[in-house]
Amino acid sequence: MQKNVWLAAAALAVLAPSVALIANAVAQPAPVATPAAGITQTVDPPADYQPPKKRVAPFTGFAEAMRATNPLAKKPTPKGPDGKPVLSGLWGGIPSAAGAGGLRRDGTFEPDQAALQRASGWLKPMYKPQFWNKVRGLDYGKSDGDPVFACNPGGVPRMNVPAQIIQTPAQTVLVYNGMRTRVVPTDGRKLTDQDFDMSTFDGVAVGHWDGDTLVVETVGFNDISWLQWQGYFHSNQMKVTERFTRTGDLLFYNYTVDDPDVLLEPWTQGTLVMRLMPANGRVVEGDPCVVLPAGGDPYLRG
Amino acid sequence: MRLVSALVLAIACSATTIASAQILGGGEDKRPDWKCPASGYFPPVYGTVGRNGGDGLAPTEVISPCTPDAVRKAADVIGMARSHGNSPLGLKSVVTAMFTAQGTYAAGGGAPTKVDHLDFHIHYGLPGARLMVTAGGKTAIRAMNDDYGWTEATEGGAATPAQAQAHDLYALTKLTPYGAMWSVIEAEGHTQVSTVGGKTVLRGTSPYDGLDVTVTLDAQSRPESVKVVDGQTTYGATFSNYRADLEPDYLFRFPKRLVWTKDGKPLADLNVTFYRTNPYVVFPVPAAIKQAANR
Repeated sequence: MQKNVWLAAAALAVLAPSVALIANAVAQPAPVATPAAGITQTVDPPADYQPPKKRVAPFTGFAEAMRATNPLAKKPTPKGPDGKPVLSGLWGGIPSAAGAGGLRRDGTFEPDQAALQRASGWLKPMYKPQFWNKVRGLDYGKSDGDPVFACNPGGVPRMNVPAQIIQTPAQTVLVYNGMRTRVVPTDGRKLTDQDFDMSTFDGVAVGHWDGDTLVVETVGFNDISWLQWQGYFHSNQMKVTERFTRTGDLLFYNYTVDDPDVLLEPWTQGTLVMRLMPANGRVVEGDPCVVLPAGGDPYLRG
Repeated sequence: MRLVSALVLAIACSATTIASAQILGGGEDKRPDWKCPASGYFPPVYGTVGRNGGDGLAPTEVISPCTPDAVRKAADVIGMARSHGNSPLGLKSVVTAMFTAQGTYAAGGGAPTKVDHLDFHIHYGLPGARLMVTAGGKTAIRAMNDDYGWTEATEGGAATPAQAQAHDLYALTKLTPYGAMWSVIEAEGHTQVSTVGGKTVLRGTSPYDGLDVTVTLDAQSRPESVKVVDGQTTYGATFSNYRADLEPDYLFRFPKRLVWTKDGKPLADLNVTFYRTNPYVVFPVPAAIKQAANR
């Protein structure tokens, strides 16, 4: 029964309003039936607990809570022959501390998910002022403007953390749900001028280690994809720097978007936290994408 | 797409009989057995929700066990409370807001005069705000981010330090239903719930700003009036004509009419013509403003 509860939670956790990507299909590795793997947080605080001096953004607070209290963070971090942390494995989301998913009332699921996703995004990319109305216009355009709903790939960094990592000394393979794959050389090569000239959804990547963190630098993008579903567009001059850090059986992932053509300053998305999943899971091909008609879903204002 | 979601939901629900009763029953509070400490504050606990695109889950703060039920109910009615599942709810689901209004506004402490339009952009979390008042074809813009304050020639344009205005502008963010509710939510177990004249009254002070905020609820548990005491200054607001059609489909409620006072004098009488919840609003602190503040 416990396993079923987690299955329900995990299935709902990957749902989102709008999710063409769900239609494109998501075969999550089977969740583990161990509550200790997910629910992390302080449940017995000291009687004199006081809030911090400043408000803490959810992504920041969550990552800190994971590092401090999740038992998976306390496990030893396996190292490979090269002394680097082993990132290989299937990685899945942390189950919600709020318990199993479900509906607050009939008809609230999509509005609730949209509100919660939006509310988590405290730290927004700082576009130059001349683009603020453009972002809002894209955001309010329901599904009509979102490139994903025209069956374009989400691309980097929108697809964010991979579902599976296959790591070798010379290259790291990042596999996303639906089987989209990136191969990241980690053999010491640098980005070339030609790499910057590419126009792709996933970009051209190279990786290197910064201590125990795998850093993946990616350039060579088109200007079609979005950073996130809220209308966060980018130029084809964008550079994305991703950081993968394993702590015990948790993976901490964030990315920084450097796009001086449209952003006032580099933007770092809040840290996502994943947990190591059982090795007997697998990532499978997604279903064919279906193009939505314009205005096809009222919940996709953005 | 909704069908897809519903289908997956149905599959998920059918996977467990115990969950389905809770899930489809709707609305009951199944918060875990967290006890509110004697301090009246509980460390933030985060639930996770899916993200559109990508596999990482987005965290959002769930309701504190110290929060009075009356606060939860009021937040729920106006759309601030959202479900991570059947519950517990996240109460801080309105982080940014923007509205456009017509009416009157008293700039610079004078009597209210007619404005062409007033635009207010708010980030309740940072906090940040930008108030743009257009009258006679000219727009006056005030902005703040944390404790930086400045004026702008155009939205996001050339800036002039106006540090002293930052706090006043922040106080105005409390003159919205969501801003006032943020205070009594953040006050957690310190929020006082009382009944005055048959109406529920919530009073609390956020530990992050020290403003003493009193929210009077209407018969439907929506914020009807707000009193904000900021040192020697008292702000007031009344809200009426709550509507869902300002932003269809998202289950938010925002009043079409807001009336503000400052130290008992009229400050604004606004009829809202446009409203969005959690929109893209940003308040980058100009380098010149940081420099002027020696930071």
